[in-house]
Amino acid sequence: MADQENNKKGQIWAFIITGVLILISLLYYKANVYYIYLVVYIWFGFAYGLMLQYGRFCFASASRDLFAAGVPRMAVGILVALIFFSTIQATLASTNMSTFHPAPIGIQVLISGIIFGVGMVLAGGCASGSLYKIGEGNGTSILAILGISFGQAIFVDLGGVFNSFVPESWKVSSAAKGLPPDKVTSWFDYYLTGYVWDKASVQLSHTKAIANAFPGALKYFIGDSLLNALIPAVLLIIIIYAFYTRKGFLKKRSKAKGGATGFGDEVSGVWNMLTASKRTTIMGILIGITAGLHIYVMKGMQLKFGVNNFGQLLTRMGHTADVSIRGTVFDPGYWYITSQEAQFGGWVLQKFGWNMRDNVFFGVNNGLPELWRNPALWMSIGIILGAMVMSLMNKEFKFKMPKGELIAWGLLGGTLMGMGSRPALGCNIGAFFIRVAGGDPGGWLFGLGMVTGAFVGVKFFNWWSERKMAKEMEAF
Amino acid sequence: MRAPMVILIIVVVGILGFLLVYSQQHEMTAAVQGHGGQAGSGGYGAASGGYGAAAGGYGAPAAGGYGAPSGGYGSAPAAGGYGSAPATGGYGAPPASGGYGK
Repeated sequence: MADQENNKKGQIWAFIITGVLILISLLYYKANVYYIYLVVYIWFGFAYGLMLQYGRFCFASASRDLFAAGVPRMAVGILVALIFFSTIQATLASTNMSTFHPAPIGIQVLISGIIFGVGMVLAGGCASGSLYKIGEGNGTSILAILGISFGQAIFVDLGGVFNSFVPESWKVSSAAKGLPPDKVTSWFDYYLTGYVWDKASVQLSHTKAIANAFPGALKYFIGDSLLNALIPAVLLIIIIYAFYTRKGFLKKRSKAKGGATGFGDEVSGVWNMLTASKRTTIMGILIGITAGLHIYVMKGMQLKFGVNNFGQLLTRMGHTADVSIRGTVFDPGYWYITSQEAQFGGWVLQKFGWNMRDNVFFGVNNGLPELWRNPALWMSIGIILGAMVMSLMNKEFKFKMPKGELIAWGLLGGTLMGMGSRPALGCNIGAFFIRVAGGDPGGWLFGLGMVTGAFVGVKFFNWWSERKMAKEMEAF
Repeated sequence: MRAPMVILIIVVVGILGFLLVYSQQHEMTAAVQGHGGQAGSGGYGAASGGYGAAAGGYGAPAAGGYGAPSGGYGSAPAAGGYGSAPATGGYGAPPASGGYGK
């Protein structure tokens, strides 16, 4: 009886939250029609939150389950989502309805991925995973997001002694770009403008080889989707099958059949692995489709208002203090996580008197809008609230206060995720999921680094737990 | 599936569906044209000064227009706004697709 009542209470709260979001959306629309652009981010964020929580989608869990317990459920779900998303992404690109853009490739992407991977395992959730876990009431994830937010904001603004470590070549290259000197003050500014901006960005469909071999729309499907996403994803699924489930599956099959197994059984084994957790796989498909739809709607909004950045709309509405010197704010045009958290951290520090606009990240590229006018930040809030609604619906919401060492892990892990995502210009979503699906091989480089870092993180945690347990046993 | 969950899904799908349809109706061009005048005359603050990192990015409307190529929002780049900065040696060249903002 009490359980039923709790369930009803949860459902009522879920509808109240949804209702409040609808009300907020209407108020925005009433304030100015341009805010509908921001409302798109709210509701796609909300949809991501619902699906992430329902499928329990998390890159950190995927790595931990795979490396520590040998359970491939989540890793496979992510690859399924990637397959669907890349196909939709290619369709959008072929119709000029994509907002995707590749990022510069270099060793920095791999190194950043490693730092990010270690961080997400320590924090117990990746960038998107930490957001949905906040929606479930996980206090450690709140600390992780705080770590990401402030870690990044401080990271991009560190100057002084840190600038003495900057190579001279970066300074020379940066100076040649003609940026206002008062905006190039931190080591990250030199790194970004003097190093990263000099690196090439690659999108397979735009390479000579692919564009010549497959003219027209086909280059997106063959180059970006098939070569950069589908084939590697299928290969990874086969590798995961071979290493983690094949042996057990074939043993069972052989026993049931009373004889040798063949190729058909191998195919059944892969299919069995894909459908072992229907919840995760179905959510993988839906997340892939939703992420594609999100791009389509954002592009539609940009065409509708004749802009390609929300900063232009903010300027039209008179909020010129929100935007960067380019007149822009952070507006990825698709699912993205970490930069808006950096803006949140930067906004808070700015309010405390720290000048956060004297750097390229905020001052030139992303601006520092008021929180309620920050489109991508609304997407993150949407993810949290969507996850909260789903967890309330399923009686999975419970506030858990972080205790003891979890406080340190959450903050440290979050800070490392922030420090990993900034130099790579993205996180597990922006630097891996979106890039790979969009035809940017650099996404795989970040993915490789992230998995390597996660592997190191899992090994470290195992060692830490065993050491702790041994100490406790000694005391006992 | 339980009824509350079905209602929730219907609400969310309905809102996303509305946004999808709304985003594809480009009759806003008329309103945009009004703002285009401002842009052409040097509006949008820094944009007219030429820090337009988006080589081709901001200029996109001018290249194709949304039914308002003459004097609309798209005219700003032609008048030395967003798009032309890189050509004059601005720092805009690297983020060709407007991408480094992250």
